[in-house]
Amino acid sequence: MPTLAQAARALAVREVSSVELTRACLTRIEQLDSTLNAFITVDADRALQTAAASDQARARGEVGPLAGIPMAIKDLFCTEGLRTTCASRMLENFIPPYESTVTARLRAAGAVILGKTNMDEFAMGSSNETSYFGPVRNPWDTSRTPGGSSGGSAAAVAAGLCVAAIGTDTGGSIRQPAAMTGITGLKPTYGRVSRFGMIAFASSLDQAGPMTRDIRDAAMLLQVMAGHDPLDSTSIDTPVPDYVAALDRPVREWRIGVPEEYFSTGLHPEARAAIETALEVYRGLGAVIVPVSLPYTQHAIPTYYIIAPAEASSNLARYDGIRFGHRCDQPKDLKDLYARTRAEGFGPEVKRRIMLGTYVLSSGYYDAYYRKAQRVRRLIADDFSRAFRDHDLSVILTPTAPESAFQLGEKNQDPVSMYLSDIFTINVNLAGLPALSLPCGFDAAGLPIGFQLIGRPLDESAILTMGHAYQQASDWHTVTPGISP
Amino acid sequence: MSITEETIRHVATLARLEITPGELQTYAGQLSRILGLMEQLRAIPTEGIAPMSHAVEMTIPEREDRVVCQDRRDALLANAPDSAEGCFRVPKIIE
Repeated sequence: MPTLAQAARALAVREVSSVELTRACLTRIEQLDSTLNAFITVDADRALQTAAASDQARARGEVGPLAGIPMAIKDLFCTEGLRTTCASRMLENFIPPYESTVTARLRAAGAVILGKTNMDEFAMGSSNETSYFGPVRNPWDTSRTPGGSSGGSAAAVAAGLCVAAIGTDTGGSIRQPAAMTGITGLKPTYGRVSRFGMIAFASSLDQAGPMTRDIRDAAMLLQVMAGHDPLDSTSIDTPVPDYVAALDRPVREWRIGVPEEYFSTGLHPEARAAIETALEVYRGLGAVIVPVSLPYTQHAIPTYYIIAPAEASSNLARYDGIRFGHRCDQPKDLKDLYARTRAEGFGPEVKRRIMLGTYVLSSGYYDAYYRKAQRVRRLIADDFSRAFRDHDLSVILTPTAPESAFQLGEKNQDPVSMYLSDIFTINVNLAGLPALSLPCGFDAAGLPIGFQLIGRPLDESAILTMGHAYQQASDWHTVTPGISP
Repeated sequence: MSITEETIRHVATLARLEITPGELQTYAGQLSRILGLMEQLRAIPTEGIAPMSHAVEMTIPEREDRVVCQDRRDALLANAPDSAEGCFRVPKIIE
């Protein structure tokens, strides 16, 4: 499967049509998705119609920046008239009456939407195993998880079922699966991309972003996705820079902060070795590696697993069986309707987080847990701003995940060990910063390893430029899994 | 940190979740372990630190006070589990 940039070029010179490209994706999906389970809904007919219309529009000279590009969308974005489940039984038959801003922007730019990808239920999970529609399998080794929660989007890009995909990231759900499937995944600054029409998990943390074959594709997609939206009151109203034009800046003298806390216990030796080799590549490009300290790093997991469930328990109160979604049979009264509808509609991990969130917000515990976590959240955010300022850093470089893709079933019996796998990504969400993951090698089992670049608020250009410089000097991002029908 | 089954029952009532006796026990054990993880925050001095409720400091934007809603009753009711005569239908709530 071509990259987005390659596909756009081939379409522009009429080497290929959008219908041919879309058909190629649909064929791959037909051949491989019974194994991978990356899609919850494939919208083949409408995709082909859109592709045909795109080819006709091109013939008339009307060409949007994503004209004719077949894409996959995480099943968390509301798509008007197209089932949107959030991988939950609760929304198994939900057909949104409106379109999310992200998908509306992609469609307006000419993208062809192939379908909706599998994910952890309500984006709660790090392995895609909490999906009501069954786990996604990693194309590099189908006995393993592709990561989560945007595991379907990650597997679809890695296995060439689409040209590019969209995910969402509340605690690492774009970056961790990107690392585990050998692709590039970007979480923008909180507020850079509109959340309108994204099914809410934790509203102060959720952010949408591109999942692509390389950095250039991520820049091209962010260009379309980013921008102010009056329908999202937390959307930032500042101009969107030209991300693609910024890619080719030289990174000589750029300062890369490397926080010691991310390289201590918990990081697998093979991941450490791959990341140290990546640092050598940057030294070779003339960048300056600066050791820094982010002392509150270790407190991010408890902080996140108070704040995110607290927000989730409020957001998920809307699933009451009245206006949309699942409703239990023969409720005896309204209370019974609520309690049984929710017991049947939500899976175990979602219920666990609703319980946890309700507990930390309940009378007598609010200050000890929720208020405390909000204060520590500020300390974690301050760690980053101090490091960027005191060391005059352009970016911070860390591992993305402590280990490569683990086996399906390995961690899903123990919520605490699953939560610990988010250690390197959730700090960024708490601080609201932009960050991306890109591939930097393979372990002995042949599984991809990724590293993470974190930027200053709204400086997506810096992490994209830095990532692009690495991909110009390496070819890990061009290696694809050998999965075949 | 140990959470009793009675606390779990209370939280489940607040969260409007029916739970089975088996789940009661599972959640009591799991939430105790998860909250045990949270205990490490207690040791961090946070006096005088302003709680951070959002990643971006911004004031809530106001829009012009103008009606923009269209009548989309039928489209919105299309997802309702039960509806009648243009309304959502629920079980009797007044005895």
